[in-house]
Amino acid sequence: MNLWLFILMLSSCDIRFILLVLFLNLSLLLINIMIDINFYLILSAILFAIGVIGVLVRRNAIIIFMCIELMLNAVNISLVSFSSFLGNSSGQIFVFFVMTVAAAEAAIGLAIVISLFRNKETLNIDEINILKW
Amino acid sequence: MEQTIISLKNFIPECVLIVTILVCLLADLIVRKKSAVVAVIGIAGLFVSGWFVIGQFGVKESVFFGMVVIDPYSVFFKLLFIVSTVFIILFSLASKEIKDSTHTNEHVYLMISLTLGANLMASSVNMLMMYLALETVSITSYVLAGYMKKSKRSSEAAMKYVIYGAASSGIMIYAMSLLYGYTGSMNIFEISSILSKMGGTNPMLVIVMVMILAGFGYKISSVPFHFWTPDVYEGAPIPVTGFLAVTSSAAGFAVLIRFFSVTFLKSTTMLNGSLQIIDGIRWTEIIIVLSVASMIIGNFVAVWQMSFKRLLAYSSIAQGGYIMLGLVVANQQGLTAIFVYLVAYMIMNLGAFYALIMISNKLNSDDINDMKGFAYRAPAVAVGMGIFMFALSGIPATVGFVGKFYLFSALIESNMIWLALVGMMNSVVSLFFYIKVLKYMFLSKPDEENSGKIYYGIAGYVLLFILVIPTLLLGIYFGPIVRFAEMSAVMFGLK
Repeated sequence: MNLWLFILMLSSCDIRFILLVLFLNLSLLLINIMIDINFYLILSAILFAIGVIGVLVRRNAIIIFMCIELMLNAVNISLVSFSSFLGNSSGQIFVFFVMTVAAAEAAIGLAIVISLFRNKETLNIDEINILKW
Repeated sequence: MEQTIISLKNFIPECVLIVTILVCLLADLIVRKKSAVVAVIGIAGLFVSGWFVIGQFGVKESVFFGMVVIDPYSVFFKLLFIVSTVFIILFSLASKEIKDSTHTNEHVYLMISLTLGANLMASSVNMLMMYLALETVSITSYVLAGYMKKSKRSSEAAMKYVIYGAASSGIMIYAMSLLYGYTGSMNIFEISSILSKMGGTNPMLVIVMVMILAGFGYKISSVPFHFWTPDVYEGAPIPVTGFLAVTSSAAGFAVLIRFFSVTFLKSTTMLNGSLQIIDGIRWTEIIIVLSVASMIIGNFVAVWQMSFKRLLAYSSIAQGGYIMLGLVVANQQGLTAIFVYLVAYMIMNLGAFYALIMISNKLNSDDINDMKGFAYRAPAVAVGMGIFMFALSGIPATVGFVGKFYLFSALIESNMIWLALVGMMNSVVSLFFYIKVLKYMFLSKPDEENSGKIYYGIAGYVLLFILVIPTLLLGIYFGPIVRFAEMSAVMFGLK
């Protein structure tokens, strides 16, 4: 840790500067303990879980689509980290295709949202209930 | 580069389909009104592609650097998809729902691109290719389900379909990424050999398997993943419903069977008669649970349905359960039984959906109550529907009986008698709701205000007759389909 910076930090009363210095130190600390693949996988699992929970509990169709995108991006993180860990490039190639498919799916999904909104004037999926049982 | 050129030689059927899609698109732009020309071009393209597919019979080759294989298994499915697409395009010409929609001829090339995706699903051996092919099929079918833009039901169906489909394929690729991380390969043959070396004791593999099953199970509408099926089937136009019931779910079976019997069996042992599952991954037990649940829920819920489309939706969930019984056996005989059943399933379902198109064109409804006394108004169509209903429930002397017979005998020969018994009891339950439709049609008198005779054009009767003939004929003379199925039950890389 840089002594000069520390002194500057203490002498300064700017909260933004203090936060910046703390952040820099924290990242130096993390690099020192070696970020291994588990961190990326845990991040990806958390993102995926947030996506799945969002799909299950949110009621607005557009937010559900956003949560699905979140699931796909969690997959991307997991693929890229495995790929770099294994030294095998096919995972990274998969990511390109996942992104393309996600874009296509979002386009189709939003088109369907528009056509549904024109017919029913709502995006709340609790009110989309003509077809049941 | 050289291998790509060599591979293209084995990829001609798919190339023909791509060219057909583009030509149909151009023709639609030139014609600019509803016309049969685009459909004729599409059907011609499908025939050419089918002719090249027949030429591939007996080839066993891996093309495009192990992405896709050409083997009798995939050739069988490709022929199945092409034949059903030809019929569905003919149906869509007859359907009033498609005719009344604001679109011109988009459905033709959307259907052919769905066939392209289904062909790739049947022949892919790489997880990347499987995912892409599955998404091609899914995305096209979302559009087709929402084809009637002005209809509330159709857009609601498309909305439900796209949410279910996107979420379950997201779950599937997450599992695929974990499997890739565990084995370091995307190719299912390599994954299989690595897994049989390592053993499957890692509990993560079970989670991976269940999550992958969520992606494939949604395509075949197996029970815990079936919630979209009745809604989408009811909302979509009937030709599209038939297409989803036949092509899309058969494609799901193609990829499911190949993935599970290659990846999670000890390398190259599947067709020896004895099943050697990689230790710790007992996928057949999960398949048994799903299959029994699909049969029971599909058949019992169908009993209460008064909408014919919903009834057929639950019936196709149950039929999916029967087909999964063949996967439980997982040897040559089980695969042959699945193939016989799939041929029967295609013929019966296409027939039932076509008869339903004819009925609902005139009645503007798919409610069974409105079909009271239909046999007095249009006897030929009602008799045709009766034959398809009997075939679906598996009455002897129809093609449905042959399919069920082969499935249950495969189960009994591998000592799974109780499963065969469950299947048979479910067939009895299914008889109830299939006959219920006929009861309304034949035994009750039509209402006073609409009891006039209904007439169809000659083409309608001819198409119905073309579908009735194999339903009855193949039920008595079933040698050809059984031989065809036996020849096709050969997968690349399995001895």
